[in-house]
Amino acid sequence: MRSRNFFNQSIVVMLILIGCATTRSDADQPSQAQLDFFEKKIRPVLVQQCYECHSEKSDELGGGLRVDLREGLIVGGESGPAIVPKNADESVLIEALEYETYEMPPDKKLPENIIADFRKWIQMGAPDPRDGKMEMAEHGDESPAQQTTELWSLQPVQNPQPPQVNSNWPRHDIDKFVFRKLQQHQLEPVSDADPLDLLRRLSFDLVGLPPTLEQQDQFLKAYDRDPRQAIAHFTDEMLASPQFGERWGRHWLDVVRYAESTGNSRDVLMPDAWRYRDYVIDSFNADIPYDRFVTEQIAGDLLSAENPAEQDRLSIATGMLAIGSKSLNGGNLALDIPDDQIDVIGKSMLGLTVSCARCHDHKFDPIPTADYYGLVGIFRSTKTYYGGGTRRPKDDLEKAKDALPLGKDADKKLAQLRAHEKEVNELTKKQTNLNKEIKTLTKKLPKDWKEQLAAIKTKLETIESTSKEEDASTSPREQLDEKEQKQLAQMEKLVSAQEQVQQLNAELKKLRQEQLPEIEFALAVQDDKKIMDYPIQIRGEKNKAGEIVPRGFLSCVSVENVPEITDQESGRRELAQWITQPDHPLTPRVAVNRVWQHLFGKGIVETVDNFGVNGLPPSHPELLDYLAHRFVHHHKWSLKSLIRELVLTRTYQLSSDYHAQNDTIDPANTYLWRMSRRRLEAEPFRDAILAVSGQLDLNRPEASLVTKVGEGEVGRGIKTEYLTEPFPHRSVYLPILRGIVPEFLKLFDLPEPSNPQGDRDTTNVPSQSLFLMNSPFVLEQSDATATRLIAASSNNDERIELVYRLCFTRSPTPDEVQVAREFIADLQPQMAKNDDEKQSAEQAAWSSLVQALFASAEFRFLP
Amino acid sequence: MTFPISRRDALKATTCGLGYLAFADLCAQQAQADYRSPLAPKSPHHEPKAKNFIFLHMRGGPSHMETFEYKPKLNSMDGQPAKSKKRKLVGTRWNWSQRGESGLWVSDLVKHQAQHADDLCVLSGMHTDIANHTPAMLYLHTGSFAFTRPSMGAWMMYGLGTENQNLPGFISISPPLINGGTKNYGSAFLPAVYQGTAVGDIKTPVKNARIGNIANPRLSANLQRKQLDLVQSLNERVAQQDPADSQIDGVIESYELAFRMQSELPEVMDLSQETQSTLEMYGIGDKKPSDNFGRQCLLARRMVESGVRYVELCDEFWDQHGGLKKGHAARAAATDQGIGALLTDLKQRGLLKDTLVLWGGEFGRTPDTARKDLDGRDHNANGYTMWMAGGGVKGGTQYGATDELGYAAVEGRTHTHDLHATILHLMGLDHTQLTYRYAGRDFRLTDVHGRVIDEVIA
Repeated sequence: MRSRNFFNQSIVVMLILIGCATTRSDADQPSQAQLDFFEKKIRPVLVQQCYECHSEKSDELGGGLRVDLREGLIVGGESGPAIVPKNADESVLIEALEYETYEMPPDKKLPENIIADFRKWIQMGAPDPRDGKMEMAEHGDESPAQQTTELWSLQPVQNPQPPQVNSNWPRHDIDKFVFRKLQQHQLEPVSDADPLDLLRRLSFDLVGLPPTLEQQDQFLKAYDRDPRQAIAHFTDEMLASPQFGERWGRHWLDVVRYAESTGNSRDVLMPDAWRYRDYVIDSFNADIPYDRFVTEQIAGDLLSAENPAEQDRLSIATGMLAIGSKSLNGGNLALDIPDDQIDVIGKSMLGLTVSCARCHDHKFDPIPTADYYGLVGIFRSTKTYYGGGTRRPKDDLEKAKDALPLGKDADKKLAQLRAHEKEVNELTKKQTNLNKEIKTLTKKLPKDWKEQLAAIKTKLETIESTSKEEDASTSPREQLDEKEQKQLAQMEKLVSAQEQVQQLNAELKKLRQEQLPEIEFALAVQDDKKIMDYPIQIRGEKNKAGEIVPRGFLSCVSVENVPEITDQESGRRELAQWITQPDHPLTPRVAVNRVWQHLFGKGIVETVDNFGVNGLPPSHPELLDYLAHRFVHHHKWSLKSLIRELVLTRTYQLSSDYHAQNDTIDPANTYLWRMSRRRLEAEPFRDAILAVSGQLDLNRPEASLVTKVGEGEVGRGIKTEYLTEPFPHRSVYLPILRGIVPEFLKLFDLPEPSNPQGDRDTTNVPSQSLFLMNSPFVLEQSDATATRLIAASSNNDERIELVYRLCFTRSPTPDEVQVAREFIADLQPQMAKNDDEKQSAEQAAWSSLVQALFASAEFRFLP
Repeated sequence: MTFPISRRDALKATTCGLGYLAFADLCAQQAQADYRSPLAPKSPHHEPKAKNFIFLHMRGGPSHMETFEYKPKLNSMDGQPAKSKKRKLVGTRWNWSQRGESGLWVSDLVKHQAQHADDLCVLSGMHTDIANHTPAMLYLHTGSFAFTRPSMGAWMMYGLGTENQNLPGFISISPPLINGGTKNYGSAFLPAVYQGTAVGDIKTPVKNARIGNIANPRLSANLQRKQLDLVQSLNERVAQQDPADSQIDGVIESYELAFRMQSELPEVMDLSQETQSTLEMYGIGDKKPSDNFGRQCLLARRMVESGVRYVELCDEFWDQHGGLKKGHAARAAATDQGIGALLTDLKQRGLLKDTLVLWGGEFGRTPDTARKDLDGRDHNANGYTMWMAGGGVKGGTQYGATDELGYAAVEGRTHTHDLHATILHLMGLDHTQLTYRYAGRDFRLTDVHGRVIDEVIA
C-alpha cells in the first residue's frame, strides 16, 4: 500500500538534514530519502550544468574532473577532491559554485537555493548511487549494462537456508528470516492478533469480504479447541471458495491494466473484454500454476488443447495482450500495440520498464534499444485482435476482422455468414438491375400504359374470338399494327420485371429473416501470416528504420536454457518459455513479492512494478530469494500454496498493535514488528457494504454491463444509463471503461486503467467523505441494513450488537452501546419531525447509525 | 528551523487521554495547522507572478485570422488559388481595427475582448504536433497524446497545493465527454487527490450543473453534524489505539473538510447573490446566446475569488470546416461578452494581477479551403493564436506571427511545451524541477522539452 503522506516524507528528510536520522542503523548506507534528494535536487543540476565539460562524454575533460561518477567527485581532478563528504565548507565544489575560487558554471552563477541544496547534500555525506570506476568508464563504454551488471534483481535467485534463531517465536522458516531482522534492529514483535481480528484479516485478504456471523461463531468455537487448526481450516475454506479468484484476480487485473474500452484519444468500447476478466478469475480459482498462467496469457493460442472449449479458454487468455489502451486517432497502431504489449509484460511479469527502450537505450536499466526491437519483432509477427477502431462493425463478418471468433464451429459459422452475404449481394444486384430496367421501360411508355395494355389485350381477345376460322396461320398478335406490337412487348417485359422484383423482394425478406448463426468473440492474439524480424526505429519514430534485429529476449537476464525462436512462429511461445525458466532471476521474485505485498501491505521490494536500478532494494533480500526459490521448486508455482504458507506464518498473524519503542526505530514497519494497518481497496470496501446490507449477489453476472451497451464510443451516443444501473454483484464485475470508471472505484483509488500498476494509491480526500455522507448508494445500503436490523430484533441493544458484528467483526463495548443508544434516541424524534418520506422515523434513525459505521475508519481499515 | 508537530507527536506527548470532545475541539481549531493535507499550499520554486489560473478553452480550434492576427495580404487575395491547387485562399469576413493605446489589431468578431487589448498578450506563433481534435486537446492539457499523463492542473495542484481547503483547488466547468474526456483534467500517475473536479459536463447547461454528493437529501445540517460527531468518535477510537497512523488523521480531516465544503461550494456556485448589473455585464439572461458561457465566466471569477487555484471553462466547437461565418459568429456571440466581462470584473476587483487568464483552442485554422463557397477553414496545427492576460504577462503585446498568409508560425514560434513551461513559470514553478517519479523515472509536464517565453513576461 502506498501511503501518500508527503508530510511524513518531508519529516524524514528534515530529520536527516538536522542530523538525527534514526531510521537506518547502518550509517554509511544512504537512505532512500537521501538518494531521492540526490535524484531530485543534485543529479539534474549536474547533468544540465556540468556534464558538458565534466563527464565521460566531454570532448575535453575540464580540469580532469568528472562529476558523472561518485568516485569522480571524491577523487577529483587537477585541483584535488571536488567534495569532502559531510564538510561543505572544505569542498572545492561549493567554492566554485559560490564563485569564490573558481566560477562554475561559467555562464551564470546558480541560484542560491540550488547551491544550498549542494551544501545540504554534501553535509549528508554526499549520497550518490552512481557506481562505477573511473578507469572502466574511461574506456568509453557508457551503456547502462556496464554500470548495472551488479543490479541485485538480475543475480541468480539463491536458496538461502533459514537463519538459526535462538527463540521459539518463529513458527515457520519464514518467521526466522523476519525474526533475525527484528533482532538486528533491536525490535520486538508485538503480540499475536486477537482471533476475531485475525479472522477479519484472513477473510478480507483471501476473499475480499467480511466474515459472516456464522463464520465468526464457528471460528471462535474452533479457535477455542485448537487455534492453529482453526486458522488452517478457515484458510483452506477460503482458498477453495469461488470468491478467492474474484479477490486475487482483481490484483492481477491491476497489473495488466484491465479495462473494457480503448481509452486515450477515442474511447471505443470493447464489449468482449470481460471474457479475459473471467478467465483470470477462473485461473486463480483453479490455481493454475503461475508459470502456466503466464504462458497461457502470452502464447495460449500456440498451446495444444484437448477440446474446443479449452482452445477457446487459451485464446481468451491472450486477451491480456489485446485489452491495452490505444490511440485510435493520430497514433501509430503498428508500433503502439507492440509497445503496450512489451510494456505490460515487462512491468507485470518482470518488474522492468522495458518500453523506455523504444526511443533510446534505457537510461537506467541495462536494456538496449536492440533488445526492445527484438521483442517488437515477436509482436509484429503477431496479429492482435484488439476489437477494432472507431468505425462500428456493421455485422459479425466485419467484426471478425478485428475480434477473434470463438467456438469449435466458428469457421463453419463464418462460412455460413459469408455464403449468406454472397446470396444477399447477388439477389440485391439482380434487384438493382431489374429496377434500372423498370425505370428505363417506364420512361419509354406512356403514363397510362396500364390502361393501354388492358385495351390492347381486349383488342387481342376480340381478334382471337372473331378470327378463329378465317386465318389460323397468323396469330392474333401479328394482326396488331407494328407500333402496337412493339408497345405490347415492352409492356409485357415491364410486367415480368415487376413480378420478378416482387419475387426477389420476398426472397430477400426471407433471407434477412433467416436465423443466422450467432458468433461469440474474444479479444486475443494469434500468430500473423508473416513472421518477421524488425528494424530499430531511430528515436522511436516510424519510417526511420535502422538495423534489423533478430527476435529475442532481454540480454541482461541470463538463464541457462535460452529457447530458440524459429521462423515458423512469432516467438511468443519461446518468450513465455524464457520468462518462466525456473532459473529466471526476475519472474519468481516479482511474483512472490506481489503476493507478499497483498498480505503484508507492502512488498519486500516496495516498488513492486520496478525491480530496476530505480526501484528500491529488498528489505529482506534473503527472505525474498528463499520465497522465490521455494515458489518454483517447492510450491511448483502454485499461488494458493504460497498464499497458504504465508498466512500461516506467525509474522502474518501478529496484531497491529502500536509499540512506542519499535515505532521510534522503525516507524514504517519495514521489518514487520507488527501487522501494518491496511486500508481496504475500493472493491472489498464496496462489497463489504453490500454484504452487510444483505444486498450482495454472489452469483457471477453474465458478461458485462459494457456488453449491454454494445459497440460504440464514450461520449458519442452510447447508452451510458446501463453502466449506472443498480449492480448487486461483486465489484470486480463492474464495467471499467477507461473514460468512465464507476464512481465508487474512481473515488477510492482504482488505478488509472491505462497503466499497469501493482501498487494502489490510498488517498484521503473530501470527495470520498462526501460520497460516504451523501451518495444515494450509501444511503440505500444503510436503509437496507436498517431494515435488516429492525427485522432481526425489536431490542435496541441486540440491534447494536448485530450491526457491530456485521460491520466490524466484533461486539461493541458497553460505552459504544451507550453512545449508539443515545444517538438513536436523539435522532429518532427529530426524524419524525421532518418525516416527509416513506420510511419511518425509526428506520431513518437506524439507517443514519449504520451509515456512520460504514463511514468510519474502522470499517475501511484492516486490523 | 520550524518543525511542524503532527497530531501523532501531540498525542504521544500527552499523558492524559483526550476525550472526544476535547479532540473535536482540537480538530476544529488545530487540525489545519497540525495535519498537512497533500493539498495544503506549498512553497513555489520562485516568486510567482500569478496565484490563480483560468483557462478559457475554445474547443475545436478558433481561427487566428478571424480574431487576433490581422492578415491584410490574405484578405486581399480572397478567392485566389492557394498553395494546393484544389484549394482557395479565404480572406476574413470581419472588420479589423487597431485597439487601445497599444494599437493591437483585433477583429470586430471579438469586440468585447478587443476593449481589453491593452491587457492582452497575444501569442501568434503557437504551433503543436498534430491537427486532430482529440490528440491535440490531450496534448494541450497533458503535454502528450500517445500516453496517459497528468493534466496541467494536476501538476499545478501537485506543485502548489491550493489556498482554500474548503473548495476543490482544480475545477473544470462543463468539460467535454469526448476528446479525451476526463483525461484532460485527470491526474494519471500523480496521486488522485490532484485530479480536477468536474462541474457538470459539456452537454449540461451550467445552470443545471451540480457537483456530485454535495448535499444530503435527508439530514439537516444539524442532524448531519450529530452523525458526523459519531463517525469522528469512532475514528478517534482507532486513532488513539495507534498514534503512529497518520492515515486516520487524514480520514478525520477529510470529513471536516467535506462538511465545510458542503456549505461553501454551493454558495460559490450560487449566482443569485450577484447584482442584476453584474449578470447583465456577463450577458447572463434567459435565451441570451451568451447566457451559458457568461455563467461559466462569472463562476470562474467567484471561484478564483474564493481561492480556487485552477479553473477551466469550456465552450462548444469552434470547428467550422464549413459555415465559418455563421459558426464563428455564433461562438463569439456565446463567449465574447462573458470573457470581456470577466476581464473587466477581475480588473476592477484587483484580481487580474494575480490571475493568469489563457484563451484559445487546441490548434487553429487554415487560411484556405477546398469549399467553393469559400466559407470554411480546416485544422491548422502549424500556426495559430492564443492569448494570455493578467498574472505577470506583458499586456498590449503580440508575440510571434505566422507567415503573411497565416499558414505556419514563423516568428516567436511557441510550442505547446513552451506554453506549459511559461504558464508554470508564471505560477512560480520551474517546469524542469516539477517532477514526479513513476515507473522508475522522473516525469514532468513538458517531458524533455519546453522553453519559458521570457519575452512575454512583464
